Amino acid sequence: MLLTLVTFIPLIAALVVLCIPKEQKDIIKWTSMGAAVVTFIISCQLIMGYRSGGTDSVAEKFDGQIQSVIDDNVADTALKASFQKGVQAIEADNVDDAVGADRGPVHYAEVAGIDLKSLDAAQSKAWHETWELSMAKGAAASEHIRFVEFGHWIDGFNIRYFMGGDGLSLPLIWLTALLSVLCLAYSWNITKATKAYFALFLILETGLMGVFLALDFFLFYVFWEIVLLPMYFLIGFWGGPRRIYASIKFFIYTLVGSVLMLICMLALYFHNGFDTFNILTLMEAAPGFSQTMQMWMFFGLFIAFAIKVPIFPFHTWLPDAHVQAPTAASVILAGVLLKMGGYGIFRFNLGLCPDAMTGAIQLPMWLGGNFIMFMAILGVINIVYGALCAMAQKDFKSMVAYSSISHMGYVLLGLAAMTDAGVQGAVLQMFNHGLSSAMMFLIVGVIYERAHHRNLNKFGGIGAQMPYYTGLATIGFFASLGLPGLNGFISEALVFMGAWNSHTASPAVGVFGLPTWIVFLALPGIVLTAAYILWAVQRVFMGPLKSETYKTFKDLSFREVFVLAPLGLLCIVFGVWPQLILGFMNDTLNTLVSSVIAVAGN
Amino acid sequence: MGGNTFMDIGLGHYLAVSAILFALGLIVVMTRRNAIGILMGLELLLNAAGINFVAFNRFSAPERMDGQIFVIFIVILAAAEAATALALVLNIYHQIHTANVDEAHLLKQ
Amino acid sequence: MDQTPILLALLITALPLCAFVIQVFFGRFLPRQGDWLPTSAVGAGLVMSLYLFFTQVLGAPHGMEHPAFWKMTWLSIGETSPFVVNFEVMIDNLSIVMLVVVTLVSFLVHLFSTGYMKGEERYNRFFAYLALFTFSMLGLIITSSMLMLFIFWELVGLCSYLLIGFYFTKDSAAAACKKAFLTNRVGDTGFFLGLMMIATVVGSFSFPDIFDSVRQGMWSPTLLTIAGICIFMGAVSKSAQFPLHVWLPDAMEGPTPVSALIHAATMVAAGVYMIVRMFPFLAGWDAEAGQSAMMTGNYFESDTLFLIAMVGGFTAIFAATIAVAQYDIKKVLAYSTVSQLGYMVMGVGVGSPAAGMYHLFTHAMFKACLFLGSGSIILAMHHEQDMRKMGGLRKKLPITHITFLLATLALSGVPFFSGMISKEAVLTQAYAYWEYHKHLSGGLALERFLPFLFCLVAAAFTAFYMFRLVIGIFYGKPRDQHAYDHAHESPRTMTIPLMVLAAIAVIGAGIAVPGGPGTDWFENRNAPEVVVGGMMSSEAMVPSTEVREAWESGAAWHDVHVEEVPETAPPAIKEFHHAYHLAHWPTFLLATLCGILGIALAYWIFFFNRGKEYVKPGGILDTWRVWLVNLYYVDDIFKAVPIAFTHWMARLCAAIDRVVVDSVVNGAGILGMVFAWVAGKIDYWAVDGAVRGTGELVLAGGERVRRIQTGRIQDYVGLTVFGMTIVFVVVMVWTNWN
Repeated sequence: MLLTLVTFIPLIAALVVLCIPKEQKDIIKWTSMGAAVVTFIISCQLIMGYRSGGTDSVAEKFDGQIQSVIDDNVADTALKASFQKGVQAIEADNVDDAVGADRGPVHYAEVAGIDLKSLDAAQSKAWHETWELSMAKGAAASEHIRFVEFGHWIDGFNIRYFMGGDGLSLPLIWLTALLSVLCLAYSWNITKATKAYFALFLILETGLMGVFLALDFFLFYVFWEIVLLPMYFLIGFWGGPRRIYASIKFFIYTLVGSVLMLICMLALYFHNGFDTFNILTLMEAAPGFSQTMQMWMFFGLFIAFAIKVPIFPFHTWLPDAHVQAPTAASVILAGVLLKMGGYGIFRFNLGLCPDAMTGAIQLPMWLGGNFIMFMAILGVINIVYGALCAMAQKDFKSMVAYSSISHMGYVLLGLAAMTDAGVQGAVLQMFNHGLSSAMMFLIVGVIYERAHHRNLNKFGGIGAQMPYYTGLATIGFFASLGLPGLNGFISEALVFMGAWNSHTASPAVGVFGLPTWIVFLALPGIVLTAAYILWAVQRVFMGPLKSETYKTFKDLSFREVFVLAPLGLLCIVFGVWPQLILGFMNDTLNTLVSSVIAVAGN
Repeated sequence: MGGNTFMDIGLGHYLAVSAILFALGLIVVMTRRNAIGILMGLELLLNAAGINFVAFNRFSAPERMDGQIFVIFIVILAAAEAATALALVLNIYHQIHTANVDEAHLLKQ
Repeated sequence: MDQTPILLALLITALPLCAFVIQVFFGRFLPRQGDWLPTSAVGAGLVMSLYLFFTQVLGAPHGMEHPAFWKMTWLSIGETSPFVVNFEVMIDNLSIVMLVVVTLVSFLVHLFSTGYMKGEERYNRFFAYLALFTFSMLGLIITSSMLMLFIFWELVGLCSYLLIGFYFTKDSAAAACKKAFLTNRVGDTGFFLGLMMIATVVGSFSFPDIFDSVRQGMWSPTLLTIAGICIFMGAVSKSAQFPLHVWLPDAMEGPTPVSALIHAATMVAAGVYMIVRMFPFLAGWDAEAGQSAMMTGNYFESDTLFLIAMVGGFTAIFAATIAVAQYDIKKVLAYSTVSQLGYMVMGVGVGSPAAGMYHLFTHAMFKACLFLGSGSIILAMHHEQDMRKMGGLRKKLPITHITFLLATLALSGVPFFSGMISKEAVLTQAYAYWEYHKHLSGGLALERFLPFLFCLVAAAFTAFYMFRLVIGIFYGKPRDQHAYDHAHESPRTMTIPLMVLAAIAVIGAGIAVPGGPGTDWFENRNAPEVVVGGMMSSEAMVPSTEVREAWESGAAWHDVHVEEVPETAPPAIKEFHHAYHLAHWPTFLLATLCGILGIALAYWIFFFNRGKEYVKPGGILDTWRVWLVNLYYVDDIFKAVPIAFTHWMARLCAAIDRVVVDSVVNGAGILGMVFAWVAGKIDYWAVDGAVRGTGELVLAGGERVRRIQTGRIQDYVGLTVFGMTIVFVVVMVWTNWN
C-alpha cells in the first residue's frame, strides 16, 4: 500500500490543486507542500521499514498471490496439483542462477504435465500469471525487494500494476521526495500561473516515483512518459529566453530514446512466447536469452537511458534544458531525472542482458571490443570532456550543467568495473550527485534571483556581501569537487578503486576486467573538476565587488536557508558516515553483480 | 384506274414526301428567327408525321383505321398546341417586345 | 593494552572539532568573539599531549614499546570478501611527538593571533578555521589507515584554502588560495593512484597490512617502485617540493599566523610525515637479497628513495637560491621553508626517516618562531613587509630581535642550536649514503653524491640569506624613519609564543654538539626500527603470530642505526655504519663551516659594505639575479604550458559540443523539419493535387458544357435532332452489325 500511496498522493494533490481557483495562490501552495511533505514522510517510513524487514515476508506475499491466482481460477483439483508442480519446478530452477534453458510458460507447462490446449481462457491466463509470479519471486527474493504490490491492469496484454522497492530504488525514492519538498519550497515565489506550475510539479513527482517503483515494463514506460510532459511545460513556459527550443529539444530527444525502449519492451514481450511485461520475470529468464538478442536489447535500452543520464554524445539537450529551465525545475531535473537514466541502466541493462555485462558479447573495435569497454570509454569521455566543457562556460548555470555530465560519467565507469566497490560507488555517486548538484543549482538560482544575470566574469566579491550564502555554497561546491568529509569523495573514490581493481578482480570471476589505462584517462577528471569549480568560486565569491549593485544584495532569506541548509547538512552527514547508504544498498547491489558473474561461467 | 405499273404511287413515295416535309419543317424550326415562323415549321413537322402514319396505315395494315385516327388526333393536338403556343408567344412578346427568338434567352446558363 | 593514549588522542583531536563547530555558528556572539574557545581547546590538547610525551616517550629509553591501537569499521561493501575501510587510531612515539608539535605550535599561534589579528574583520571566523585545521592535522597524525590519512590530508588542504583566502576580497589572495588547492590536487591525484594500487594489491589501507604485503612479496618490484613514486607525489605537492612548490610562496597572502602554523610547521610537514610513515613501503624490494629492503636493512638501493632524495636535494638548493633575491620578509621565509622541506625529504630519501623527522621537529619550532617574529615586525611596521623599508629595529623590538636571531642561528645550523643536530644528522646520512654507493659501484657514484652536495651548498646559502634578512631588518640605519619612529614592541600575547619557540629552538635537541647529551633522544625513539618494529610486533595491530615472528626475525634491519653492529650483519650494513661513524665529525665541521661562511659573507656584504653594489649590470650575477627574481620562471612555465593548454582544451571541447555534437542534434531536427516540409509539399501538390485536380476538372468541364445552355430553343431543338440522329445511326449500325 505504501508504494501506491507514495506514487499517487502527488497526483491526487495535483487534481485537487487543479480544482482550486487560481486566485487562491496560498491555498494552492500549501496544499502542494502538504502533499509533498506527506510523501516524504511515507518515503522515510519506507526506508526505515526496509532496514528492518526481511526477504521472507516478500516470498510469503508472492506465495499468497500465486495461491490466490490458482484458487480463483482453477477448480479442478488435479489441475491444481499440476499447477503446483509447475510452480515447484520453476522455483527449483530459480535457485540455480544460470540455467540457460527455455524458461517460458510453455516449457514449464510440459514439465508440469499441463495440456495448454485443454485449458479454457481463464485457466490459461491463470497459468500464465502463475508462471510469471513464480519466476518473479526468484528475482525478488535475491534482489532483496522488500515492498511489493500486485494488481491487475490490462489483462488482455498481461500488463499488471506491479510495484516493488529494493535497495537500489528506495534511496532514489527518498531523494525524489526530499528534492520535491525543497523544490516546491523554493518555488514559493512563482507568480506566473502558479496553479499550473504546482500542479505540473506534482504530476512530475508522481511520474518520478512511479518510474523507480514500477516493476512492470509497460507501467515503467507509462510513468517514464508521464515525467516528460510536465517537464516540457515547466521549461517551456516558465523558462528563460530560449525556452521553447530547449523544451522541444529535451522532449523530442528523450522521446526518441523512449521509442527505442518501447521496441525493446515489445521484443521482450514477444520473445519466445513469454507474453509478459514483468521485469522480474524477464530478469529471471534473462540468462536464457540469446547473445544476439541481448546485444540488440542492450543497445536499444542503453541508448534510451544514455540519453537521460546523459552520456556523450547524447548529452547536448542537457545544457540547454538546464540553463533555460526555472531553478526548481533544474534542481529536479539534475537531481532526479538524470538518475532515471542511471537507474534504468542498472535495472534493465544489468538485469536483462547479463552476457553483455560480462563482456562476453563481441563488438567491433571502434565500439570498444565489448560492452564493458564501450561503457567505460563513454564514462571516461563523460568525465573528462564534461569537465573541460564546464571549464569553458561563461554562464554559471551552464557550468553546473556540464559538471552534472561529468559526474554522471563516474556512474558509468563504476558500472563498467563490475566489482563490488565499483558498482556500489556508482549507485552512491548517483545518490550523492542528486544532493550536491541540487545544491549547486539552488546556489545559482539564489544569485540569479538577485543579480538577474549568470555571467561568471561579471560576478565578484559576493562572499563579503553574503556570508551565509557563501558558507553554504562552499559546502555545495566542495561536495561536488569530491572533498573528503563531504559526500562526493567516497563515491568517486569507490568508483576509482573499483575500476582499478577490476583488472585483477574481474577476470578471476570470468568477467572482462577494465584495463588500467582507462583509470589513468579518468584521473585528470579529479584535477579538472577542482579547477573549474575553484575558478568559478573565485570569480563569483572572491575578489573585490565588481559592481555597485551587488552592495544591495541581501543574504539568504528563510526560504532559501530552508532549502539549502538541509542539503548541506546531508552532504556532510553522508560524507562522514557513508555506510548509512552503503549498508542499505549492499544486499541488492551484491545480488545484481553476482547474478551477472553467475552467468559469466557459462 | 386499272394496271398503271409505271409510277405506281407506293409506300416509299409517301414516306419520301413525309421525310421531305419533315426535313423542311426541321429547317424552318431551326433557322427561323420569328417565333410565329417557328410555329409554322412545327405544323409542318406534325403534318409530316401525319402523312407517315396514314401512309403506313394504307400500305401496311389497310383493314385497320389506327393510322388515320392518329392523324385526327395529331391535327387536333396541333391545333390546340398552336393556340397555346401562340398565346405564349403573345405573352413573351409583351415582355420583350419582339418576336425574335434570339432575344428570348433568359434560360441561358 | 593501556588504552589511555588512544582516549587522550581522540580527545585531543575532538576538542578542536567541537570548538570549530561552536565557533563557526556562535563565535560572533561569544565574548571577545570567542577567540578563547579554540585557544583553550588546543591548549587543553597541548597539556594532554605533553603528558603523553613526558610519560610515554621520554619515560623509557625507546619510548613506547608497542603502539596503542584502536579501530572501528567505517564502511564495508561486498559480501563474499568485503572491501572494508576502517577508521583506525594508532599512537606511538612518532604520533606523540607530532601531537606535541602540532598542539604546541597551534596553541602558540592561537595565542599570537589574539594579538596580531585584533580588530580584523571576521576575527571569529579566523579562529574557527584555525580550530578546524588543528582538528584535521591531528586526525592525520593519529590514524594508521592510509585512506583516513588521505581524507585528513585533503581536509588540511581545505583549511589551507580557507585560511590563505582569508582576505579573499583581494584578487591576489583569491588567486593564491585557488592555486594552493589545485597544486595540491595534482599531487593528490598521484597519491590517490598510489592508494588505488595499494587497495588492489594489499586489499587494506592499514600500515601493518601494507608493510607486510611488501615483506611477503605481493608486489612486483616495478609496481612497488611506481606505487611508491605515486605516493610520493602527494608529498611533493603537500610539502612543496619542486616542481609543485609554486603554491607556497603565494600562500603568504594569508595572515602571518597562518603562514606560521600551516606553511611552516605543520601542514607542509604532513608530506614528510607521510613518507616517514610509509618508509617500509618506499624502501622497496632488495632484489639481490630477494627480500623486502626493510628486512635486509638495505635502504640505500631503492630507486624510489633515490628519486625522493634527488627531488629533496634539488628543492633544497633551488629554493635557497631564490630566497637570496627576495625582499618580502615572508617570501624569504617561504622559500626557506621550501628549502628546509627539501632537507627533510632528502633525509628520508637517503635512508634515515628519523633524521628527516628530527629536522621536521626542530624546523617546526624555529620556523614558526621566525614567522611569528616576522608577524611581530610586520605589525610593528604597520603591515609593511618589504625589508628594504626596514633597518635598525633591534632597539625598537628587543624581544622580537633576540628570538628572531636565536631562531636564525638555529636555522643556519650553528653549533649549540637545535637545527645543527638535525641538519648534521641528515648530512651525515647523506654522506654515508654516498660512501655506501661508492663502495658498491667501485667508482665515484657521483649521482649519489649530489644529495649531499646540494644540501651542503644549500646550508651555506641558508645562512647567507637568513643573515641578510636579519641584518636588513634589525641592524644598520632605519631606511624609513617615519615607520621606524612608530614601531613598538608587540604585546605579551605575541611575544610569549616567540620566547617559547626560541627557547625550544635552542635546547630542543639537547646540548647541540655531536654526541652531546640529549641529542639522540629523538632518533632513539623514532628510528624506523623502533617505530616499525613496535608496530609490527604489536599483537593489537598484527593479529597473526607468524607475521609478527617474521618481522622480529628479520634481524638485519634492526641493526642499521645501532651503535655497535653485530658480526652477523650483512657487509652492506657494516660498510654503512663504518661510513656513518666516520662522517660525524667531518660533516659537523663542514656544515658549521658552510654556515659560518654564509654568515660571514652576509655580514660582509650587507653590514660592512652596505650600499656597495656587488652585482654588476650585465654580468653573470645580474643574469642570475633576474632569474631568481622571476623564480626561475617556473610559475610562468606552468601558466604558459599546462594551464594554457587546459584552457585551450576546455574551449575546444565546448566548441565541439556546441558546433559538432549539437549540430548533429540540430541537424537531426532540421532534417526532420525538412522531411516535414517535403511531406507537406507532397501532400499539398501530389495527393491533394489529385483531389483538387479532380474538382478543377469537373468545374472546367462543367464550364464548357454550360455553354450549351444558350437559352435559345432552336439550339436545343438542333441538339435534340443531332442527338437523335446519332442514336438512330448507332442503333441501326448495332442491330445490323453482321
